[in-house]
Amino acid sequence: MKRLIVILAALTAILMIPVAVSAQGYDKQPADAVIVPLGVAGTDYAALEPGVRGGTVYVGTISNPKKWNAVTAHETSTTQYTNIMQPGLVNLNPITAGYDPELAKSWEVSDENKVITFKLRQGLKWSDGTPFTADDVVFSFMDLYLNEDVETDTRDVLQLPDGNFPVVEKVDDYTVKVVCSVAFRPILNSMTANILPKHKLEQFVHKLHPEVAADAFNQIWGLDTDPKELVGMGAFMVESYTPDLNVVMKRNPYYYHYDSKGTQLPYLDKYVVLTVASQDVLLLKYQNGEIDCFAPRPQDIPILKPEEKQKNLTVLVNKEMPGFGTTWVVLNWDTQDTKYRELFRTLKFRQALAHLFDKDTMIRNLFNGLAVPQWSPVSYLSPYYAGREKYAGPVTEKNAVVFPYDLEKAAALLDEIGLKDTNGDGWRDFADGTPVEIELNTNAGNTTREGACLIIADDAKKVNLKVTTAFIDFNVLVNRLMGQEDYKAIYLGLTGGTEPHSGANVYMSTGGLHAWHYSAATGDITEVEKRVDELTNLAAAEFNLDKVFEYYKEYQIILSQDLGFLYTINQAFVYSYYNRIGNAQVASPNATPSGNNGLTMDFIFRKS
Amino acid sequence: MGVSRLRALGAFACMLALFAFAAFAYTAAQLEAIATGELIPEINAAAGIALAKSYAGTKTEDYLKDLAANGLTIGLRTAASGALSIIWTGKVSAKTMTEADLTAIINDAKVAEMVRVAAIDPIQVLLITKAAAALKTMATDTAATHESRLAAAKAYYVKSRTNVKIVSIPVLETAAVTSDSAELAYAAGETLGGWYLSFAPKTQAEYETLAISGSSEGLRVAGKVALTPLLLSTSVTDLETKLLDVLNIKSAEYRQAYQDALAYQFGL
Repeated sequence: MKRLIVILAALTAILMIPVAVSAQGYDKQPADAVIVPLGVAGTDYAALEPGVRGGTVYVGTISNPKKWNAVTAHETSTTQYTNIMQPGLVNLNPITAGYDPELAKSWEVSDENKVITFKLRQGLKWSDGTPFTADDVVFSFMDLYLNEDVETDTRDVLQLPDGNFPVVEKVDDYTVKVVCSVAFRPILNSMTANILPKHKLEQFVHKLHPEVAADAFNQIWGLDTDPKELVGMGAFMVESYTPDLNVVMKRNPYYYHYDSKGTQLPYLDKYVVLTVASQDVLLLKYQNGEIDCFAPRPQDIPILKPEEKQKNLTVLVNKEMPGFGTTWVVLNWDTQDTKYRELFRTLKFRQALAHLFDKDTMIRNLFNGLAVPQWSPVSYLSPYYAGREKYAGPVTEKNAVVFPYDLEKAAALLDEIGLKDTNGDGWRDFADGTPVEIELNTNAGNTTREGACLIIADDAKKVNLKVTTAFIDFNVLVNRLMGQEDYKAIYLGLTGGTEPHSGANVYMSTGGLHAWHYSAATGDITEVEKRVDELTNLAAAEFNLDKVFEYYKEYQIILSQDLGFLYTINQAFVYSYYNRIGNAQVASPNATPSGNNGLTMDFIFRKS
Repeated sequence: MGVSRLRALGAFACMLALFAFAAFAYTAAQLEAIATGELIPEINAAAGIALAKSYAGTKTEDYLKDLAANGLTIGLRTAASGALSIIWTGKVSAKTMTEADLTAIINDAKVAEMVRVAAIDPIQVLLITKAAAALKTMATDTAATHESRLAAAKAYYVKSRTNVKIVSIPVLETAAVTSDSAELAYAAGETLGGWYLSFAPKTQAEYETLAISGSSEGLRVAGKVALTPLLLSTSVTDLETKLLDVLNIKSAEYRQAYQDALAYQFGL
């Protein structure tokens, strides 16, 4: 008997081993895998090359993530990881910025463009081996993004022009239908939203499980979560997180991208993001070779250029191509102090401030000439940019809304609205004699933004307007921008893209990031905000791109005139990488190996 | 790549070093041989620079400290110093070496010079978190060692690179001549060289002239920094020949440009 037990135990142990081994990764390439045609002539990827598996790439950041929850994230310090871990139904092509099928392999539009039917890739699995199905897509949209209990910016972007939201329905295990009450052109952009695993997360959704609190999902997947609990379908998953040190991401064995030779991607075993104190330290660590790829600022170039050949690295500079996104000063129209609230809501004050922005000095001093003045909420590279005269036309800046650097004009406007030095101390005061003092915040460690704040404060001083600067932690800054803490003025930036509607969460009066005037959502809305809302909806419903361009042109002009955001400058594209990293030359404003959309991470590889 | 190293030293009439190598990449052993036996100092040092990475991976810290202090040639001391720098940079990254640890090395006059030199790069990652004003003060502290002041001066210019009052070509051209310390002038010159390359390129001849005849060490360093990248494609033979030709040129910075280019070629 004892011998039988021993034999049975041995057999069990032997039988268990193959099960454990085959639990990691596909047995063979899924039929619906995404093939990335690296090096294939006639494709977008022709200039790249197939790589080899193995190794780790190191990049850097100056901010810790705030959470691992893609749905509730508001900040790039979080989305740089969640975008890698959880792709959407469609994704941006890193080379063309067009839409590529991702978790969906195809789609069809029907019923007067009001219905999009997505065919999902079959045979794919989440990183824990659970099959991916339409249930995950329906769950992500209907139970997370469109669930009022969940705090998410994505809901704003999903809203249709008539105020309704699309309905995402399951047709079968691998087909979903997105049904809109009206035609909604930007819906494809919204389908880049991260898809989350139903089997891991539905237990935290009050709508599905009333026994949990209504805001339970908003608390889930915080930084204290065991990384083993994080599940996704992206190239990498978080393996470990050490605050102020690093985030280590490891290859997802169930990733569904393959190169044209049949090698499963990502090529890298690991992708490590080092957290450092500042961009200065980031630069030095890149120089030391601890970081493989790096987004320098123009002022870093003189330090890197002499070492380019010696250290076998590449410094990419494109003066004609500013990056996506916007950089601006925002005044808090809802600040607690009623005197400042009234001041910031006064257009002439905002105009005065705009005339204080010495953009040429910022470009010269902070960017060594490698930047352009910015005036519009829409990125320069967008075909809808109002610096063009027609959709995708050449940039002429004929329609640009310009507030020239003009201290006299600024001073005159300040005089006009009654801000004068009443007590002879050299600083302007309110009419009642209270000193005017505006604290301008930005994130500590970002020396470019700090420099811009100092230039602004210095110019404000020239017209006797007291602007002080305080540089604070990025996540604290985000809290203030989100209206969770009071503030007067912030200098910051937002990412952008080719589709202006992706800014709906910012520029619409009810948007979750309508940072200068959150109270507009509760009825305190201006005429400009009403018109911006109208134009956003008109542009979203229109499929004639020339008409769309006209809507967005007016939208950009009135937003720029109204100065909710006071735009500053936009940096030219610069990037740097060690030549030991294969395919890093793909870097562009669309995507970089150290950027926050993760679009290139599956085909970057180590040559040595 | 490697060639016969027969050299006539003219008026020096010293024993010549002969090294014959086949035409392939230099091995650590070959570099060691040059760093041990080559008589022209810049060629000797260039081999040492190229050897540092190998030493960082194969030698102990104690061995390297001893070699950096007592190595018989500049090449061996340079190799050891460079290796220590690589190791300590890694330790700083892993947070197993602190600013206090590095300060104890770099600011102790009793520590050998090349060991102090090894601490310059690693400590900068830690110095860069200080305010620019504090770094400038450190760079002018006469009670500190030269290496300590130099590390602070380099960090000061990295830190100040967004400040047009400190970092722009006209300001740097002045600072490279006259600064509150020789180390600040040196670091200004390094920064200026990078600015020339990036935003106001000159010809190679102009960089050579600056490196040879610049009126201050800082200006000559600017010339060297800008000149070196232009020399990297030059063959080993031509670089060695040049270093032989310029033995009598007073400017150390000019010779270092060719030395650094040769080190790059040795390391390929």
